[in-house]
Amino acid sequence: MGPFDRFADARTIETGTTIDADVCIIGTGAAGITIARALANGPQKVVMLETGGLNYDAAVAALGDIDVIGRPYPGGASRLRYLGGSTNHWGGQCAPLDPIVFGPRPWMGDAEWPVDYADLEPYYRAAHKVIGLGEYEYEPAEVLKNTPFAVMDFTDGGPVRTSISRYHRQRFGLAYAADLNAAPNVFVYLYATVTSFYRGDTGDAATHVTVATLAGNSFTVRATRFVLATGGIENARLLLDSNGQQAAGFGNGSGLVGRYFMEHVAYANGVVVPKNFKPGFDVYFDEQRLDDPTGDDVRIRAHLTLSPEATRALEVPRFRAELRRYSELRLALKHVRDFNFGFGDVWDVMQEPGAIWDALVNGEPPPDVGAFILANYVEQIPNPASRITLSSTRNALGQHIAAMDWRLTRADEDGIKLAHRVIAHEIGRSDFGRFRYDMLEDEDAILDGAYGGFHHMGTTRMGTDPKASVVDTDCRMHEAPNVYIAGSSLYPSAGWPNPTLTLVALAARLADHLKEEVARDG
Amino acid sequence: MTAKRKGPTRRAALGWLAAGASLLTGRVAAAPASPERRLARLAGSRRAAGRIGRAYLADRGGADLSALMAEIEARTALSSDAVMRLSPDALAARLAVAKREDFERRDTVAVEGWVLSGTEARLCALATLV
Ligand SMILES: Cc1cc2nc3c(=O)[nH]c(=O)nc-3n(C[C@H](O)[C@H](O)[C@H](O)COP(=O)(O)OP(=O)(O)OC[C@H]3O[C@@H](n4cnc5c(N)ncnc54)[C@H](O)[C@@H]3O)c2cc1C
Repeated sequence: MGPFDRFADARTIETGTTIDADVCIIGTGAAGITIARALANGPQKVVMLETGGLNYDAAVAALGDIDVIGRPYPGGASRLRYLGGSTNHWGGQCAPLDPIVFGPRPWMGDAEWPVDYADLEPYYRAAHKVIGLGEYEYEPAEVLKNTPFAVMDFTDGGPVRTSISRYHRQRFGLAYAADLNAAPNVFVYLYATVTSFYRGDTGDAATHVTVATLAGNSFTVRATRFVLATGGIENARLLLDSNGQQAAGFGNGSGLVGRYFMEHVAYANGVVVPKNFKPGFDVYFDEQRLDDPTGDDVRIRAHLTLSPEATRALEVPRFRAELRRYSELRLALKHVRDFNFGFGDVWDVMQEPGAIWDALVNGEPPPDVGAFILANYVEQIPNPASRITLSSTRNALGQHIAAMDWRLTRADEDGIKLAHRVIAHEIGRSDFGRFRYDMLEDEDAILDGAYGGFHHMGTTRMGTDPKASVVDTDCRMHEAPNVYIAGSSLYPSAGWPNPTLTLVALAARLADHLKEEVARDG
Repeated sequence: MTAKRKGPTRRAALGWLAAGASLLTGRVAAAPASPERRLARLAGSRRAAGRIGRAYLADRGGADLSALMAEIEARTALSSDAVMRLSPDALAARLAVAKREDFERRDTVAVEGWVLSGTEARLCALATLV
């Protein structure tokens, strides 16, 4: 299809056809493509099934409609269904999860991962290359050395740290389609929507999936191993909708498929005025280009986070405080309210007596009075009642679309409030500046003001206990030994970073596992 | 005036500069010394401290100079005598410590949403009263 002569258009495949594969990868987003590339040019026949084509197609996009039955959510806008998946419009913002996220955190409920940071570290490095993020370096002093940017100085043994996100908007489809096309063992089928998993008469293993297209034809793909990589909502939806043999869905004896749907809870509601505003703080407001010889067009941005020690002591979710340039107009529109004094007044009373006069005598202009808005991205507390289920509405292929019941609880609200309070307090304590806390005390209003980041996590969680998780540490379904899952649906908890770097790392790890398994078992 | 202690030339320059600048900015100018005035001068410019101080007093429900002074003295462990005796720099340093300790002890006040140290807010209030 198009410039990729070996890609097949599934709409032309005769109904009733059966395609055989060693590994069948469903979905060509960040996760699916990472695994396919790792298996490319190897001995296994890899079949990739992608619901979309090479570009956006409204009819295909509508197959992924979402019935929002919980908190408001811009469902449809949050995913793209064509080669490359949602990386066709993602922001490219990446950071690894902190080691603390993987371990037990009793205050976060069911948040523990069955793997730790050390297990993932080599794969984070591999994922860095796949995404094109440059050097695997997140230590602020290292990243910012030899740049004009300044670290906000909250040191002094306090709980606030600077953390770094790196950015590269790798469009996985554009970047890697040629590799897939060139690999003789990889077969990509576009416009191929998987509609259901099936088992044989004996055993738990999946035998095949059914595939349908909007042209009306349908066929079957049989494989030794399957990798489900259709995104954090669709992974759960497809398993639930594969209910021809078991009413609860495929591999859902635990009843956990679709549960624990999590987002990063974003809440913008405060203003910070630093005592000494430095132009180098720009790195906290916007992505800034980094001169990184190991990566092309790598950008960085700094945030405020809490130290692991403080996170434990205060029992807060992980969060990052993002700073944005203060816009008087924006805030005025948000808070139609008269203030008797402004941030310039607060800045004035913070100054050392005489500082302004000293500056004048020395011939220096007084420092800038800068201000910025603070928005926290707070990790949601894992909650089985927050979930993806099947809607009674069906799409054009007759599949039940996903019903999204995203729920936040009082505990999440406490987390949001605490995150703001800690930062507000620490800004004053460290004499970095002062904070205006614009948060409303009314619980509903706080939760109303919170929104997500298009990060769909937790719906097929990873764990060692089959009663408490959907896949094991190898990302293999507990209830189907030849079905693996890739994507952020695996996350038992979310940390503060955006999810894609970790899901690409897990996909690279899964690819290694598949290679080892095939070498061992055939 | 409350300039930091620097070399004599600097100080002389600051003298006339501050006099002129106080006309322009409304920063509290020299007046008969009293502990209240000495402390109020360290709150910031008259205009800024005044605005914040008035908002704080409105929240507090009234202005009682002696109560404010008592609270400031208690929190900073400074007697009126000490306030009169210490140099502006030394006084400012003591206030800076008190403000920081306020945050540590969570002795903060919210004035129109701003999280200020209790001492800071009380100093602003003082500036509106003297
Ligand atoms: C606006 C926006 C901005 C974002 N910004 C960031 C960011 O800055 N940083 C970050 O880390 N993350 C970001 N994300 C999230 C990021 O896009 C996802 O984490 C990432 O794309 C997930 O990769 P994936 O491979 O699991 O799923 P996807 O990229 O969603 O790919 C899934 C693929 O499966 C296909 N598919 C779905 N159903 C079927 C089916 N039944 N049969 C066959 N194929 C199917 C889809 O068409 C798609 O190609 C953003 C998302 C959005 C929407």
